[in-house]
Amino acid sequence: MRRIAFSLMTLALALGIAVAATAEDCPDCPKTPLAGPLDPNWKDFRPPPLAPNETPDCHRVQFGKQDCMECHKKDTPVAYEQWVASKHGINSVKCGVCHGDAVNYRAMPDKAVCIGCHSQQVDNMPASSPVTNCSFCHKVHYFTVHSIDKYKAFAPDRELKFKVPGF
Amino acid sequence: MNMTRREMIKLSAAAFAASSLGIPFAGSLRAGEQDIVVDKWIKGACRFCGTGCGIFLGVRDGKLVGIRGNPNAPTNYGFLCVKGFKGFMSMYHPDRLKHPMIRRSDGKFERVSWDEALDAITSKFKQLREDYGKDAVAYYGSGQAMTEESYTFNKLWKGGLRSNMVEGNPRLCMASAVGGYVSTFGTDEPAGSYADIEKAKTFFIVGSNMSECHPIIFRRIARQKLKTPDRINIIVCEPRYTPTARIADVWLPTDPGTDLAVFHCMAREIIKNGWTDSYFVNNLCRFNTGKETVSFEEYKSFLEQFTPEKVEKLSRVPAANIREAARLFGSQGPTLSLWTMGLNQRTRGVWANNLVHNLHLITGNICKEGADSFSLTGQPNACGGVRETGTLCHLLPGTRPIENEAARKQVEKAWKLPEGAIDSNPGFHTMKMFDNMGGEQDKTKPVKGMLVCTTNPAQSLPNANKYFKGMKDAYLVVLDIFPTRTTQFADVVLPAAFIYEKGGVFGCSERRSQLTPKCVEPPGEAKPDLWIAAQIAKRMGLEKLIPWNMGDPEVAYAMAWDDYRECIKDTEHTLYGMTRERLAELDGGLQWPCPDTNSPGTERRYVRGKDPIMDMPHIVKVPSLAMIYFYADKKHEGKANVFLRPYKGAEEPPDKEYPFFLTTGRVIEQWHSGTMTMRVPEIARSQPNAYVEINPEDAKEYGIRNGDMVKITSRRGFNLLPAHVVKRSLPGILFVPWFDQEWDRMINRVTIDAFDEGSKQPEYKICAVKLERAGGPKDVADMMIISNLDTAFPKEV
Repeated sequence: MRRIAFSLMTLALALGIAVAATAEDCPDCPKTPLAGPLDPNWKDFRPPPLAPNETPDCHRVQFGKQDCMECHKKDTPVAYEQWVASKHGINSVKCGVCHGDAVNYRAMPDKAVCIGCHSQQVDNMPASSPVTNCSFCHKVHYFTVHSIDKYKAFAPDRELKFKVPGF
Repeated sequence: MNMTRREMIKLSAAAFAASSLGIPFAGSLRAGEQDIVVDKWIKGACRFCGTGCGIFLGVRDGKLVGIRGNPNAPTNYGFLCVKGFKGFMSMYHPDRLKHPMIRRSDGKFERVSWDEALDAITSKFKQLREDYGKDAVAYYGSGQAMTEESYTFNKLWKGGLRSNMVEGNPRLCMASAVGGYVSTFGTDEPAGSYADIEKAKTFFIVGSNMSECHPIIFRRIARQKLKTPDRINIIVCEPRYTPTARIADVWLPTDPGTDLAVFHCMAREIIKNGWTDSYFVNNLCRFNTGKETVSFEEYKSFLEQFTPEKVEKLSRVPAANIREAARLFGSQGPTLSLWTMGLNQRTRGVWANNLVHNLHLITGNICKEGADSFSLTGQPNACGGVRETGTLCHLLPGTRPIENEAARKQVEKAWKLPEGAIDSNPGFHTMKMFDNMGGEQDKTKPVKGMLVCTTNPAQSLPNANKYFKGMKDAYLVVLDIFPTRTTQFADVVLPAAFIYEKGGVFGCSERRSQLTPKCVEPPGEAKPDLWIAAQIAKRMGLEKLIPWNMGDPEVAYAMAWDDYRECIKDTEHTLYGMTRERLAELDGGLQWPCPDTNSPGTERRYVRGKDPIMDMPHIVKVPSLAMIYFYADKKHEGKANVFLRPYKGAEEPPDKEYPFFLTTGRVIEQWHSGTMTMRVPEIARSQPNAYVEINPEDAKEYGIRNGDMVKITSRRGFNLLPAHVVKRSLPGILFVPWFDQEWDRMINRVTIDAFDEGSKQPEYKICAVKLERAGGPKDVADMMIISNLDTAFPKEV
C-alpha cells in the first residue's frame, strides 16, 4: 500500500511539475486561487477554518505565486518565529524543503522527508521503537528542546550590535 | 490507478498509520528502510555548487525517485540544501531537449538525426577554419561539464585543431582566484581543506554570502559557532547584511570595491600589535611590489598609509570594527578565510585575493590545522573540470601556462603529437572572444563559429547587450538540456544528457574529485557531451587523438579519465592514484595530489608528511629539512609572495548622474541562470522573479514603497524590477540577483564588462546606476522559463 502511495507521489513529482499555481493544482479544492503577492488585498487574507472531514494535508487555501513565508510570517507568526530561531532558520532550510509544494504538499512531513539530510539519525532509530516519527521529540519548528536559548542568541536583529552608521 | 490527489494523500496517511502500528520485531528493521522504496541507492555527487556534496540517488524502475545526503561524505556529512534536494527534478521536466535541432533559413528549428547534425557542424567548422584560419572556431565550456568532457574538448581543440580558442565560464567566476593563488604561491588551488572548518577558531568570510551560495559549508561553520559561541569568532566582510552575517561577531560593511584598503589596514594593525609569525615572515614570505622584492620594513612603511580612521572614510567600515577584525584574525587563530565572487568578480580581483593571502602569510595562518586561505568555487566542477584540466585559453592540463615550453612538450608527448604542435600563444579570453565574434561577412571579427557547452552566455555575460549580435551572427552550436537565452541565437542545438544520465567526475573546491556513475537513461535521443565531443573529433579525422567515441558512456568516460590521469601524472597536480575503481569505492572520492594508488590523497599541501609532492624530487625539489615549503615558487626559494598592491577602487564608482552602487549575486534557491531550478515548483515559488533590494533610507528619498516597480539604469542598459525595501544593504547600494531570464529583469544588461588585467575576469559585482520609481506594484511573479526552442529573442539584435 505504501509502495503504491509513494510511487504515485513520485510520479506526481516527476510529471506534475506545473510551475504557476492555478486552480488545477488541487483540482478537487473548492477554494479560488490566491492572487499574486502584489495584489493590494493579499494581506487581508485570513485562512478559512478547516472544513469538516478535511484532511490535514490539504493546504486549506490555494497556493499563490509567492514564497510561503510571505503569508506565513503573518498568518502563523509563532511557527515562523520558531523557525527563524532554529537551526533550519539559521541555515536557510526554508518551508518548501520539508513541506513540498502544491503538488506534493505535506502539512506534517514525516521521516521520509527528514531522511534526506538526517539519514543516519533516521536509520539509527529502530523501526520497532514505539514512536518513529521524528517530530514527536524534535518539536516543530525549533526541532530542539535544549538549545532554544542558544539559537535565539542568533536572532536576525543582531545587526544592531555592529554599530554601523546608516544601518 | 486513477486517483485524485486527496485520495492519494489519504492512502499514504493510512499507510503511515498502519506502519506505525506495526508489530515490533526487535532489530529487524530500521526506521528509514520502510520509507523510500527504491531498487537501489547509487552513490554520487551533487551537480550544483562547488561544495561537492555526497549524495545517494534513489533509482526505481529506471527513474530517479529520490535523493538523500551521504552521511559518510566528508564534504556535507549527509546534509543537502534546497538545490541539492529539489534541483534534480528538473531532469524530468517536459521541456527537456530530446533531439538534435538545426535552424533552417526561415529561422525555425527542425529536428534532424544525430548524423545529420554532427555532419553539418563538422563541415561548417571545417569550412570556417579553411576560410578564416585555425582560430576561427572557438570552444566555450563550463564549470558544470564533467572533467572528462572538458578535458576532451580541450584536447580536441589544443591538440587536434591546434587552436587555443578554448574558454569557459570559470573565467567569469574563478579566474581571479587562480590568478591570486598562482601569483602568491606559484600554483593554483588552496592548501587546506574543508576539514579545517572544525579546527579553526576564527573565520574570515569575505565577499561571500555562503549561507545562500554554499549553504552546506556554511552549515559546518554555523554548527561550530552554535556549539561554542564564545570560542568561535566570525568576521564577515560584505556590503550586505546577508544571512551569513547573522552568525558574525564582527561585520565589516565595505562600500563595493574598497576592501583592498580594509585588508591592508588589517595587516597594519596585525604588525603594529605584534600578531605576526616571525618564522613565516623571515623564512616563507617574500615581500613583493609586483616588480621587485623589498624588505619587511618597507612593507611595514607601505602599510602606514592605511590607518583605520582613513580607511573608515574610504570604505565606510567603522575603524573599531577593523581593529577588532584584525585582533581576531591575528591573535585568535587558527584563522580560516573563505571567499567567492565578492573578491573574484572585480577589476582588482587578483589583488584582492593576494591581500587576503598576505594576512595569512604574515600571521602564519596557513599550512596548519584550521588555518588556510581558502577560495570557494562557485560551480561544481570549475576546479576539477576546468582549472585542473587547463580548459582555458592560456592553460594546459595541470593548470600549467601554455607559454611554458616544458609543459607544452610534456603534453605533446602525452598526446602523442609532434613537437611544436601546440600553439604557444594563448587564445582569446572570454570577454575578448565574445567581443571578436561575428558573421562571415564581418571582417573585423575573427571568431566565426563557437561550440557552447553547458552554459548560457547570452544571460551570463556582463554588459550582455554588447555581445548578442556576435552570438547571433556567428555559427553557434549549443549543447544543453533546456532552451535558454543562448539557444535563441543558436544555429544548431544538441540535446545533452544530465549528469545522472551519463556519469563522470566532478572536482570540488577542496581539490576533491568524486565519481558519479550513470544512474538512468537520457530522454529521447539526448547524448552524453563526451560522445558528442568524440563524434565531432571522429568527423574531423581526429579519432586517433580521441578514440573514446563508443556508445557506452561508462567505457568512454573511463578512457578519457585515464588519458587525463596519464597526461598530468608527473605534475604537482597529479591525480594518477585516483583510479575509477577507487573513486567508485570511496565515500568522498580523493583529494589531489594523489600520485599513486596507495596514496590516501592530500588534505594539506606544502607540509612534509602531509603532501606527497614534498618528497617527489622528480616533480619538485624540496630541501630535506623543510617542514613547510611553497615548492611552486617561481624563484625556487620555497617562499610565497606578500604583495604591496596599491589601493585601487572600482572601475565605475557612483557619481552625480549614476549615484548608486549596483552589486549582483545569488539566492539560495536558484542556480545560475535559472534554467534548471526555475523548473522546480518549490524553488520557482520561493523566487519567482528577480528584484532589487533597496535600503529603506534610499527608498524613502525616492518615494519608493515595497513592491513598487523601479527602473535601474546604468550607462549600458536598464532593468525594470519590483523593489524589495529591506534593511539588508547599506544605503547607496542596490542588490539584484541574476537568475531571472525575463528580459526586463536580466541584470547583466546593466552590469559592466570591465575586467581584471591579470585574470581577465569581469567586474560583475560593481557598477554605477541610477534609480527611479517606474510605477506602483505589479505582479511580475511569472517564474519565467523558455519552453519552446523557437521562441524568438525578445529584442531585435
